[in-house]
Amino acid sequence: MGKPTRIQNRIRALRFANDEMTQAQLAEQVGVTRQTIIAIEQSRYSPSLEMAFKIAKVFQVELGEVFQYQDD
Amino acid sequence: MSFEEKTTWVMAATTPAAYAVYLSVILPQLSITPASQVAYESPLVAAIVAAIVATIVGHIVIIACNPKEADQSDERDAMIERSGGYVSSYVLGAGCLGALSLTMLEFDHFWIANALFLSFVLADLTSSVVKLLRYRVGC
Repeated sequence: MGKPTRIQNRIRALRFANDEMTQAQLAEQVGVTRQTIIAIEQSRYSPSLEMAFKIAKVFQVELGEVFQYQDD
Repeated sequence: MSFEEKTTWVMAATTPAAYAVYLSVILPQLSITPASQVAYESPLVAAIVAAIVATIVGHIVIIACNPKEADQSDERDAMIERSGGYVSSYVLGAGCLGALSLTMLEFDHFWIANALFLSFVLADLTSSVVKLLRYRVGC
């Protein structure tokens, strides 16, 4: 696996807390491919601000509860 | 694997394959005939057409295997596409400069045409490799 991005996320935990939502279900609600959700969860891709807000909206939480920026 | 990644694999396979077939036709002629007399035009056009047809067939097979994901792409696919195009543009630019140099040095049409064709192939291959690395390793 490549170098992870500095943006960490809690998508996996949030999916589990939301009736064990699948990656495919989340992808459908956000309007992206399942592979993109997988890449974000594994910190292989940093989503755009718009997509980040969409993901937070699906879970009905603030953006900061989904994504965190990790300093060195 | 997303639809766009699958189509990238198809591109990565078809273009080099078509070029390899083209070389297998041209190189034997080149070893026994002066470059100016090698009949490269028809094999070159045939290789380009074959690569395009093979890519289209590959797309159709991918869609037939999973119609639901046909033409599904998102911002990540678009970003990866741009990334591949950005890197490959340098390869294509270098190749065109090479072909331009050959023209100014009055090389035979055979070498100029083949320099351009090789540039297209290498640019396409570079784009595919960059995109596949982005898909696999991350971006």
